[in-house]
Amino acid sequence: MRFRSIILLSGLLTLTPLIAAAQAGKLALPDFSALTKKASQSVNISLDPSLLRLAGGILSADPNPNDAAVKDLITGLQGVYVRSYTFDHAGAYSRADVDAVRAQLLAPGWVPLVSTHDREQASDVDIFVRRSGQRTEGVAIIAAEPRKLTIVNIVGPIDLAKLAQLQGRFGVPKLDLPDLLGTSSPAAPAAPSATASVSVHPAPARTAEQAGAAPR
Amino acid sequence: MSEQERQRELEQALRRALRPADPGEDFADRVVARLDASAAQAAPAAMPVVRQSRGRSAARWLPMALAACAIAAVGLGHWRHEALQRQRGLQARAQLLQALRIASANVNAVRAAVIDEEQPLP
Repeated sequence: MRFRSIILLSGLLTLTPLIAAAQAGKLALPDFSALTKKASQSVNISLDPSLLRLAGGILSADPNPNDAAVKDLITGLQGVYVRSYTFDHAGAYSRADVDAVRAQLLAPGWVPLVSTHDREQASDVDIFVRRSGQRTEGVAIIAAEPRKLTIVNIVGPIDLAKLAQLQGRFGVPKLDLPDLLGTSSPAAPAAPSATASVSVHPAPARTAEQAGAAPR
Repeated sequence: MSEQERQRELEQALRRALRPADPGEDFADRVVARLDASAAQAAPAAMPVVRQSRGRSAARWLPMALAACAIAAVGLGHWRHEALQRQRGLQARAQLLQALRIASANVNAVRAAVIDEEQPLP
């Protein structure tokens, strides 16, 4: 009996850090039900590992090359969570709604990758990456506009280069942009804007598999 | 006694024994009554044989029918589970694509902003 308890305890002690590591990139997204009621359009997506496996199974069975790219992208992911709200009028959500998420991104391990602010559009987009050594454990994207709030949390080793390469597929308009966030798209000039401010933080080192999968 | 006398005697004995006799007017009634009596005696013995045969047949087929029903139920359950899983998978796939579409759009918006910032105004 005592021996069994010791085995159980040691098993728990071994598994707990593994489970914690697997969920390290996961944010505790607040209950945005109040925003859902105010929003004219809302997207609430929560894909846990079991649902991702189911989706992966369907993607594997489909010979569509787009699906193969997505299957490759989601390999190893532990979760994908999206909260997106579009409002009819500006000011429908408060800064406090976003601050609850931002506070979690101050925790050790989370690194701001890029922050953009468009004064004309009054929009902010911040990308944070959760790192543990050379491993990416998660990505958080917060896009705040006067009439739109989007929070994306991808848990697990996501390759932003491959994520950006999904442009032009699934209805995302294709933009020919240079490789600034670790993507490999061909460079093309874009119209400059005097109203935008961007702060690019030193990008964390890419993992070996990411570097191999999407060479610069 | 000569041979001829013996034959004559035998013939007479046969004639006496086999002489026609009147069965009586109630002969037909008696035959019917005997037949009814024998049928009544035979019937109770025959019925259990039929019942036993039917019972034996049911005992043989019932487990097989139950097993077939069980296999069909398991198969149906499995098929239903698979259909539900596929339905959930398709739903998850649609949600995943929508989530990636949103994430990809935001990443590319940031990329565009970064390019704008890095290129000086003419």
